[in-house]
Amino acid sequence: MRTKIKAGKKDWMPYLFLAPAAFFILAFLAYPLATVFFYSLQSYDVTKIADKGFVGLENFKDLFQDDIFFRSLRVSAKWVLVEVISQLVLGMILALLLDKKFKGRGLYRCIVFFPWAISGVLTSMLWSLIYNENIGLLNSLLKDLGILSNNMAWLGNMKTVFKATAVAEIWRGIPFFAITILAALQNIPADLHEACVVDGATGFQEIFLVKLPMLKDTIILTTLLRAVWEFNNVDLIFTLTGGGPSYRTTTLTMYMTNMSIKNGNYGYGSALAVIAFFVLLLFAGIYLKLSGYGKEDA
Amino acid sequence: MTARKGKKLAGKVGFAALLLVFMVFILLPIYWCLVTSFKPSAEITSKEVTYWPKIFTFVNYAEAWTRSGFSTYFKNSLFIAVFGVVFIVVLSVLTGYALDRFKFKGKNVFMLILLCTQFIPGAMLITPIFIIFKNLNMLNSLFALVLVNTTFHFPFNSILMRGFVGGIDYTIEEAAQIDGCSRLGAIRHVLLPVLKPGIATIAAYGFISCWNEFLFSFMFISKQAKLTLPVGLKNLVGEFSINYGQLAAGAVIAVVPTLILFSYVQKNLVGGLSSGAVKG
Amino acid sequence: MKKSLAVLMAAIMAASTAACGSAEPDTGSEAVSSAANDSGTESGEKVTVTFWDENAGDERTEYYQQIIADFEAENPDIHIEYLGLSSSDALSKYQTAIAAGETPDVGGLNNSWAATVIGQGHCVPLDDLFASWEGAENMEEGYMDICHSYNKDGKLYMMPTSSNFICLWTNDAMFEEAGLEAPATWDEFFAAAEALTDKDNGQYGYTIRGGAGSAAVLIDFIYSYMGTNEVFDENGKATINSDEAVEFLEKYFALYGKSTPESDITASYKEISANFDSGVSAMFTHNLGSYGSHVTGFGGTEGFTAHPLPTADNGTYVNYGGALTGLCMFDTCENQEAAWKWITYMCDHKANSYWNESIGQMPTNKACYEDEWMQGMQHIQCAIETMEQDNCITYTSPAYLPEWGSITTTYIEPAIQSVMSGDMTARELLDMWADYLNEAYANYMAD
Repeated sequence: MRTKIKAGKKDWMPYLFLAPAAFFILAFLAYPLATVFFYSLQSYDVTKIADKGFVGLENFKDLFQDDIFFRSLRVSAKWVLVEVISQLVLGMILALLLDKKFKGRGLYRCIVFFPWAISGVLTSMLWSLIYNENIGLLNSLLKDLGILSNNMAWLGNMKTVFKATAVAEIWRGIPFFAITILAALQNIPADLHEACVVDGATGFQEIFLVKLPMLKDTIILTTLLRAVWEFNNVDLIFTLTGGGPSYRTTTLTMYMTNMSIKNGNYGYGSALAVIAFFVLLLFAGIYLKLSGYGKEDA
Repeated sequence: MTARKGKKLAGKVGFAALLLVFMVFILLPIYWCLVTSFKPSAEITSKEVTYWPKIFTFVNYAEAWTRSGFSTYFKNSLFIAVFGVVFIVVLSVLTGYALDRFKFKGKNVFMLILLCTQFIPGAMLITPIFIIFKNLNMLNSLFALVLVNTTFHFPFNSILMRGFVGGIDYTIEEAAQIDGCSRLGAIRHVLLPVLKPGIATIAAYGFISCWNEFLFSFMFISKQAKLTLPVGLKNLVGEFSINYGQLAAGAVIAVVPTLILFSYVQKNLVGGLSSGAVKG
Repeated sequence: MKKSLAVLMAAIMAASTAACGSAEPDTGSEAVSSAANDSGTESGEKVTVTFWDENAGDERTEYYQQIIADFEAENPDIHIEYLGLSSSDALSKYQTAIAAGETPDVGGLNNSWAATVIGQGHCVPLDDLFASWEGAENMEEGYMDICHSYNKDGKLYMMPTSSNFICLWTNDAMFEEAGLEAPATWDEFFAAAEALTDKDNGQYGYTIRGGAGSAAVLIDFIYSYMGTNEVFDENGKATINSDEAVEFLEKYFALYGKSTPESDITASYKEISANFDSGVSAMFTHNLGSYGSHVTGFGGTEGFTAHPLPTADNGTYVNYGGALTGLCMFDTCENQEAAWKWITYMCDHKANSYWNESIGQMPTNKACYEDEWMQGMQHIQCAIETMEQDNCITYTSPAYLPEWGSITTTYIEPAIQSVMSGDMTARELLDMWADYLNEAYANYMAD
């Protein structure tokens, strides 16, 4: 391990460095986060403003009888799992490809940035145009290639709606993993590769036995952050399906924000947010523990 | 010998094929965005899908830039993104440095708090944050958006920065201190130059987040002259009319600064990330 | 490399300081109109009225700016500060603004959520101002009555600036080819939807809105089919789960997938209007507001026609009277006189006429009825003629119930999709809908 500065006569130093960060969190996040917890114990619905006041755990009791809550939690879990795993796997393959030396590598790397750089407003409208049953690019292409004979309703079909939405989000998420992993790969010393060649290891052996273990902490960290992000992000699903059909793509965050921001039921919406907060906290704790984050590899 | 050659060739073909599949997947929607931006409205919503504009037009760009007020939005977004990047970088360097270089009480708690800030979606926090800025008399201020964006994006970048700092050997700082530098002096003169790639990375990540941020800009800004690009783009999606052409053109315009920035920092970005990401 | 990066950063900085220079000095002080109002009474000082447009679009914003320019020329002491909101997020912005006490002086409201905003008690009752306004007598009484229904106290909180009319838009060429007339009754409508479908050629008779907004339009069709405007009976019970309504839904959703595209189940406005404009669907129900998009899609004003909804079997035509958009005044407004001037300007003949001609909707000021443009537009004529018929009765959607928004988005719209996919029966949906309406109505009547 590297040397760390030991706590000594200058032990106020680290706190000085953290002061600005603490200031931002305290000034702009502490109070808003506290209000969410506060409102979760209140009846606060703008359509029933007369009932406003403390209700204890009433919102949470309602929540456990709410089918839509459990459905949306399941959709969220599935969404996060599918997104993070696919983005990670595809991003990693892409990173391994771009790690090789070949002509025009810089250009390809730039292309990989694209989906991330495009504004979310457009990304969602673009994919809704692509998936459109009658005027969409996808059906037209597939028909011209002879793969489809009839137009598919990608976003209107119970069997394809989740997958189609997931693919659009995967498209947006690949760059994050590809770039982060690519960078980590480049840090692996070149002599390690030579050692593999000398030992007669195949390309696959080199990837799985040498490279992946070295990427462990990067992968743990990026997947965790991405999971939280995918859990909380709803703009794309909202534009593509509006959560339908019949709650098939309604995630917990979508249900929560609709409940509070659109319908004005801040009390119940906050209770959902508090539950989501603890779900994520639990998930992060277990994930970091099980994955052995930060531990040196044997 | 020939078997080996054949294997090598097969590997090359497989590599090229795989790369091709990825590029098609990534570029197809981008291509579609470009093509759409050059089509007249009627052609965009036509049953006959055209892979190349039948009528090639620049009207969408001209109208997006002038009529829809994108030139103003562009400037506002640039202001938010540039200052947001400065704030995010400074905070991330300080926080990341402290989290890697020091051992102190409450370190793990602080890491956990950084993580927790990401657990509740911004949408749930709008009203209280709105009230804070109202009390600060900072509504309709682009600077308020800089502060909000900084608050939401620095925790992630600090965790990344912690890794970058960790990738740099502490002995170089120590050596400088032995030579008579103060600690801060050592950071400024010795660490920061080496940390440049990491800073470029954080800057690029921060730029994208601020540049494309929609929700807070929409909620906090109630003056047409101070709207940002994503809000302006969304205004093209009306209940009775959706101008896909202008939307696509606007998005192409919006992506230009990000790409310029990227092409400049691309080398730093990739090189820089490597030092950070391994240590996490 | 290093140098070029520095140059780039310098350029960005320069551009941003330019933005900063123009943006920063007035920060905060102009956030609320109060700053301007304090000095508003002094001569030569301008009063600022902040105004939010609830459905911004490139063209609509331009029309508004034209009207504002005219208004400011006539009232040099008042400045209207326009802000366009994208329609899908407008309600969220109002909700946040109300919660934080930062509402505009004047806000544009849409009938589907006007009651939700008004019900929170931060809009100013306009009855007294209206009574003393000289232009009051020109306002269409029917629309004013509806505006009074938006809150249970019966006071006036919104001045209507535009009215809509639900139309059945038809594709002329497809009807001609099939040798069909526009359907006059619902049975003809169902038959036409089937006859006009030619799946092999990618042509469908109709397109159903199954996504966002589906419940609000479906209930209008249900009452149009039933031929009644009695949404709640004398006992305060919803009539929406009547046998006739069930029969209608069964017929209506039988069209789905057979005479409509399959993607309709999640289709909202943008998809169904694209279906009609691109020649995928021969019929499409929406309101006058989509006129402009058809002109773009068909490349002119020819090729499509507006018709009223079919007439009920009992011979009654049920006109949805609630499709109003209008302006309200929020209680944060400090210069109510100036705000009222702007509201009435939008309601007065000149601006009301220009506005509705531009967006292709019905004026709310009766003086506009004589204007030439109203005779020239087929869809407006269709609306006027239909409403003048003797068999026309007006129905008010229960959208005025405060819980309407949350009931429809949380429960009814997903349930409609379940019926379309066959996971739920029409009766189950309507019974559920009736239960929610009964509860909401009881709350509404209670206090």
